[in-house]
Amino acid sequence: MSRFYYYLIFLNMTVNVVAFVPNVLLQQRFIGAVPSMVIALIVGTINAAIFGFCINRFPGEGLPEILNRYVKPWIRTLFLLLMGVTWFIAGIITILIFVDVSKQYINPEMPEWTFLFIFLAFVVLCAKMPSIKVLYLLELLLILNLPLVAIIFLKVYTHPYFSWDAVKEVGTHALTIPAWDSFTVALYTFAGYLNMVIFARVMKDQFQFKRGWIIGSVAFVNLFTTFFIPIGLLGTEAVGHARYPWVMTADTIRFDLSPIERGIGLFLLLYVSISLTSALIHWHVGLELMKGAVNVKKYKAKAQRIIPWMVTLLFCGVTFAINELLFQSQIRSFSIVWYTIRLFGEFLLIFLLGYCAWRRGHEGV
Amino acid sequence: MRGFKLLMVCLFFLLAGCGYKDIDKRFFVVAIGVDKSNSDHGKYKITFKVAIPPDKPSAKSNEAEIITTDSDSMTEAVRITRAQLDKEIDFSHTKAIIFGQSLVQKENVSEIIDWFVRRRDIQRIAYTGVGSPTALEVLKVRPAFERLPGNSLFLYFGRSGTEAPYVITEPLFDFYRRIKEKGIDPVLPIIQAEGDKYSILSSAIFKNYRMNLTLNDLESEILNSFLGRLKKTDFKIQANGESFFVFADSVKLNYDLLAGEKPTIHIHCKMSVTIEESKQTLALEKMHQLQILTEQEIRKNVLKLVKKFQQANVDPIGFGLRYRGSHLNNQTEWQKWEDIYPEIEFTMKAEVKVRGTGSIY
Repeated sequence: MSRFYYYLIFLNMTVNVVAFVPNVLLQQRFIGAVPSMVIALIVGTINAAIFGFCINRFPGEGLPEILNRYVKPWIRTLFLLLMGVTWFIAGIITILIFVDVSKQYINPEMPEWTFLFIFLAFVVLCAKMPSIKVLYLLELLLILNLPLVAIIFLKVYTHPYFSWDAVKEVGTHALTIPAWDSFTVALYTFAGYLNMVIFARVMKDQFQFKRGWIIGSVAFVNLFTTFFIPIGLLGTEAVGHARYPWVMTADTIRFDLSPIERGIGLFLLLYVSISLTSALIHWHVGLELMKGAVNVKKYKAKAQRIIPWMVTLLFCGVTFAINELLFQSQIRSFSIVWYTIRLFGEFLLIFLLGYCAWRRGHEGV
Repeated sequence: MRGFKLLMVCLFFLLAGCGYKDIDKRFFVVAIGVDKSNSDHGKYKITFKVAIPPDKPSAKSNEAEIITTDSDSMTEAVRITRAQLDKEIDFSHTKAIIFGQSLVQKENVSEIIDWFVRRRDIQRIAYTGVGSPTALEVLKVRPAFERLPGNSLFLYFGRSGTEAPYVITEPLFDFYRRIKEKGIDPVLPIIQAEGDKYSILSSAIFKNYRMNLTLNDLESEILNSFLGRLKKTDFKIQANGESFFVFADSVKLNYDLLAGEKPTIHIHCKMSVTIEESKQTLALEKMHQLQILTEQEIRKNVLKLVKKFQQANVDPIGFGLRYRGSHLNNQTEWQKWEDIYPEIEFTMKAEVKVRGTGSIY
C-alpha cells in the first residue's frame, strides 16, 4: 500500500507519546504495564493485518460505500454515526491535552479559550479539505518533523544520565498480571491504520503482507521508547509523579551549543505540529464518516456545503464545553473510558468489515 | 459564505491580549540559594541572584542583585521578593540551585525540592550543589573573569568550559530521581566560596534526605568515573619510593554484581595513560613496573572508596538499583539487599596500559 498508510500509523504512534498513553502506562509500571504492552503488540499487529486483508477486497472504496452495499441501512447509519463520534472525540482529547500543555509550558498567561479558538480554527478549516489534500498536508508536516523526532531520539538514547538499571528494574515486573487500562492505551498507539476507512478511497495500491513486519517493528520501537525512556531518565519512582512524563523527559535534554539550551523547546515545537496534524486527521475522518452516515450526496448543493460546517461547529462547541466542565484529572478519566469504548469499536469495525469481505467473496467477484 | 469567513477572520482580532510582558519589564533570576534561617520569620533563608543587564550589549557586566528573604516556603519567599522588585520576577533562566551546607545537614531536602520540580518554569537541567559555608556566600561570589552574572558557576558544571575531574555535575532531574529512588543515593558537589572565587573539590552524599558523608577530591574523582561522566583525568601514584603522575585519556570503571552463595561486587577498570610528571628519570625497561604500580594504586583507592560507602551504608553508585534490576523477587528484593549490602565483598581488577612517557623519558 502507498506510503500514506505508513504515515498514518507513524503519526498516531508519535502523537501518543504526549497524550495520556505514557501517563497511564507509567502509573501501572509495577502492576502490569509490561505484559499488557506485549499483548497489545501482538493483538495490534494482527488487527492491522486482518484490516488490511479485508480492505484489499474493496479497492478505492471507503467504509461508507462498503457498508452501503452489504449491510442494512439502519445498521449502517447507526454504526457510521457512532464511529464518527468516536473519531471526533479522539481529536478532542488530543486538542484538550495540547491546550493544557501549551498553557503550562508555552504561555501560561494566555487564557485557555484563546488557545482552543486558534487550534480549533486550524483543525476545522483543514479537516474540511478533500482527503487527498489532507494526505499531502500530512506528508509535508511529517517530513518537516522527522528531523526533530530523530534529534530527540538520538539525544535520549545517548543521554549521559540514562540508567539502564532502572529500565531493567521495571523490566523485572514483566511477570505480573496484565492491566486492562495499559492494554487499551497500548493498543490505541496502533490505531493509525483505522484512518484507512476513509483514506482507502484515494489510495489505489494494495496492502502488502510481506511489509507487515514494518508495522510490528515500528510499534515495538515506539512502545519501548514511550515507556522505558522516561523510566531511564526520570527514575523508577519519580516517573510516577509526572503528569506528562514525556514533557518532563524532554526537559532533561540539554543542547549545549544551541540557541535554546532546553530540549523542551524543541520538543514542544515538534508537538505543536504533530498534535494538530493528528487532530485534523481524526476530525477529517470523523466528518467523512458523518457525511456517509447521513448520505450527504442525496442533498442539494447548498445543504452539502452547510452540513460539514454544522457538524464541525457542533464538535467545537463540545470541545469548549468539555474544557469548561471537566478538570484535568476528569479529562484523564474521560479519556481512559474512551480508550476502552474505542477498543470495542475497533473490534466491531474489523468484524463488520470482515463480514462485508466475506459477502463479497461469496458473490464471486 | 464569504461574509461568514470574513467574520471568522475578524474574530481573530478579539484574541489580542496583553498576556506577554516585555523583556525589559522582567527580572531574570539566574540562581537560587536556600539556607537555614536563624531568624524567627521562617525555616529557610532564600536568596535570589537577579541579573542586572548592562546598558551596552558589548560591555562586560556580571552585576547582580542579591535578594534574601526569610520564610517557611518557596512560594512565600517569591511573594515577598515580588514586593521588593519593580519588575516581574522570571525563573526561566535559573540555571543553578544551591543548598546551604547547614540546611542539608539538618533539614529534609525533599521538602524544599518540591517547589523546584513542581514549577513548570524551573529547568530540570538546572545545576544543583551544596554551598559552603552558606548558599548566600556562594551566590555573592563575583569572579573578576566572569562576563555574565552567574555564568562562571554554569561553566564549571557544563562541560563546555573547564573539565576539572572533581566537579560532579548534578542536574535537578537527577537529584530528584536519586531522592525518590530506592538503591541509589543523591550526591551533590560542594561549592566552596573563597573570596571572589569558587572552588569545587569535594562532594556530599545524601542518605535519608540529609547530607551524610563528605568526599574529598580524589574520592569525588573516582565517583565521577564510576558514574561514567569522567573521560579524562590524572592520578598521583606514590609507592616504593617512586612518585609520578599519570594522565588518563580514557577511563572505564564498571562493575558486575555476582549474587551467589557469597554476594560479590566485582569492579573492573580499564585505563590508558601517559606519564604526566615524574620525580625520577624513567627507564624504558621500567615501563612494566610503572604499569603494575599504577594498577595497584588505582585498585587501592577504588576499593577504599567503595568500602567507605559500605561502612556509611550509602550507595551513590547504584549497586542497589542494579541488584533490584537483576532480581525477579520484587516484593522482597529490597529488604534482602539491605541485609546483603553491609556484608558484600568487593574484588577489583585494574588494567592499565601505559602508552608513553610524554616528550622525554
